[in-house]
Parts: sequence; structure tokens; C-alpha cells
Amino acid sequence: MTTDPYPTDPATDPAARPAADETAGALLGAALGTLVRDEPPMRFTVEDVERRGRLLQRRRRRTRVGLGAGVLVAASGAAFLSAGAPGWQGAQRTPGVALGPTATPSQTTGTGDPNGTSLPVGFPLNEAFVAVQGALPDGVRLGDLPPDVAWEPGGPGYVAAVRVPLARGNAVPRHGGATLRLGPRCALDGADAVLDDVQARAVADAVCEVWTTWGRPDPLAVPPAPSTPPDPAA
Amino acid sequence: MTPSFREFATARRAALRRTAYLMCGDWHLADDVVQDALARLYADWPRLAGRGPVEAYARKVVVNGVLAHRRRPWRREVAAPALPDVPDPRSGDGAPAGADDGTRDVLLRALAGLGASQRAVVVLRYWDDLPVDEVARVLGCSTGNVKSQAARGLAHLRDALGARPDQEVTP
Repeated sequence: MTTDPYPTDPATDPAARPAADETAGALLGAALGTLVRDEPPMRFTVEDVERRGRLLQRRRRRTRVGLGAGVLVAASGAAFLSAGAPGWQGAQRTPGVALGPTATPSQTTGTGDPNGTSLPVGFPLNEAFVAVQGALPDGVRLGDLPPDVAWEPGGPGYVAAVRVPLARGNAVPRHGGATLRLGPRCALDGADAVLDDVQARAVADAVCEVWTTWGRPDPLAVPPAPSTPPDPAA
Repeated sequence: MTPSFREFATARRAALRRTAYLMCGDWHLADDVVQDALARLYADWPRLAGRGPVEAYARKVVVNGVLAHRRRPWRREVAAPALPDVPDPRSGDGAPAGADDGTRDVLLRALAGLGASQRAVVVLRYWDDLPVDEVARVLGCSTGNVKSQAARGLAHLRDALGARPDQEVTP
């Protein structure tokens, strides 16, 4: 059968252009169907995709942990230098003024050592904040974290808690406005100003899910002190 | 109710693959792009599934994957005036059933002559049958741009198909 896809010349009859385009579009859609009619079998299965997806998840997690460790190391290094590292003339610290992170070792998520380096143990804060950020609805954002952000005791029924600055739009986030609690069921309290109950529940569940993938460690657990090697001369 | 990732991937991967193929003209590349897109979707599934339908997101990742591939200089497709080793439409050799009138080859050639984004607009608009605003959302451009690209793409294909000696379009 011979079909004229453009029975009316759009150039001579502009009013007929939409109808002509519609007809042509329908014919084109059908013609495109002939191109996929000889579709070869798919070279991958859903299981292959899931396997690749899991690898991707693992790679992303490793990257986040690496970035978190890097931030902690950099912060520790800055604190060390600002505290007056020996031989560094630039450090003129005023006594009694805290520069840099002020969290105590029991509050940090890292294991401190005398050299000022820090590696994540338990449940890194950055994992929690990445999960929070990913679960926030449009229009709500995570604000700048205060320098002393750290896991704190979670209160009755909870393992640990951390303050989460949230803001809607370009508003200045209210530090300490919301509190994220880890426990048998995670919770995000005090976020009424920017999130409704369902959204707060979704954020808490997202963090809980990541925490579960980490094996639900206690973020406040103090890592064991490094053992001192025996003195060979003794 | 939001389907599981497995349900979604099983149901939609073939359609996504056809869209990718029509955009790039290569089944192997379409397989790679769709597999990449679905793997990313799997990794983000807990976050995305709670926000409603994921179809649009999946389509956007596939479209971006094809366009990103076309932008890579070492893999850039070069539009040629004539396809090499084009089978004779009248002989039927190498042509699938129902496409032995040459329309398929003409259409392939005409599609290859479109720019990457114009081709994406044509495929999304006329194959996936998406409304103009949805196409604009997927491609991250204005609805006016989609309309003009679709009209130009359609005109190009009309010219290509109309230039056939027998003047026929038999889908």
C-alpha cells in the first residue's frame, strides 16, 4: 500500500501543519518499529545488572570512607599544627582558644594516636550525613556542619545521636535544630520546621539502612588502645 | 506500590534497550548503556524507590549514557553520506521480514544523519511517545527547543524518505 505521510503541504497551509506533523510522527513511530524488529537477544541478565550494581555500591562506599578518612586526617593535622607543632613557626596559638575540632577522643568516630592521625571505626559521621543528604526532599538541604560535630549519647533507648543542621531553600540552617538518633529504630527529632513526619521518617530510615550495612556498630565505642610491644631488653 | 528493582528491570530493560538502540544504532552499545544505567539504578534504588516512579530517571540515565558516548572523541560516530555494504532492498538479503522494501535502510541512514540530540528528541518524541515537556525534562532543555528539534528532525526524515525513488513509506 502506498501511503503519503504528508497529504497536505504545510508550507502552503500552515493550519494543517500540526495535523500533518502528528500523522507523520505516528508513521515515523511505526517505521522506527521496523528498525527494532530484528532485535538480537540481550547480552545481560537482571542478575548481571544486580552484580554490577552491588560492585558500584561497594566502590561508592569505599570512596566515601576514603574521603571521610582524608577529612579526618586533614582536620587532625590542622589541629596539630594550630596547637603548635614543634618547629612550625606559624603556630602562635593563644592559650585557651580552641582552633579546629574540639571533640574529645571518646566522641570522635576515629581512633586517635599520638601522631594525630585518625582512622574511622564504628559508624563514620560522613556516612550518616551522606545518607541524610540523599534522603532529603527537594528544597531542603544539609547546612554547614559545626566544627565540633560528633556522635553523642543518644538518650534512653538509643545508641548515639548527632545534631543535623537542616534548612529549607537558602535559609540559614539552625544548628542543633534536628537530632538524628541511632537505635533499634532510628529517629530524626526536631526537624518539624523543615520536614513533615513522613519525610523525617524517610531520612531516619535511610540512615538506619546504611548503619545496618555497617553492622550497626556503636559509634561511641572507644577503640582498644594500641598494645605496647614488649621490651626486648626486659 | 513501588516495584522491586528486579521487577522493574525485568519489565523495562527491553524497552530501554530499544530506545538506546534507536538513539545510537548499535545493539552492543545499547546493551552496555542500559546495563550501566540499570546498575546505577540498582545502587540508588533505596533512595529513588521512595520518591515515586523511577521510569523517568532510568530513561534519563540511558539517554545521557548514549549522548555521553557520542561525545567521547575516540568513539565519536562519523556521519557518512552512504552506508557501506548496504544490501539491495529488492533482493531481501540481510533485511528482516517486513522491512524488505528498503524503508529500513533509508530510515537508518536518515537517522544517522541527525545530530545526537536531535535524534534523541525524535526517538523520545515519536518512538517513546513522550509529551514535549517530558522530553524537555529528560534532555534538560526547554520545550521550545524540543519542538523545534522535533520539527527539524521530522523534516529531515521526511526529505530522506520522500527522496526514495518509489516515494513509499510502509511501516
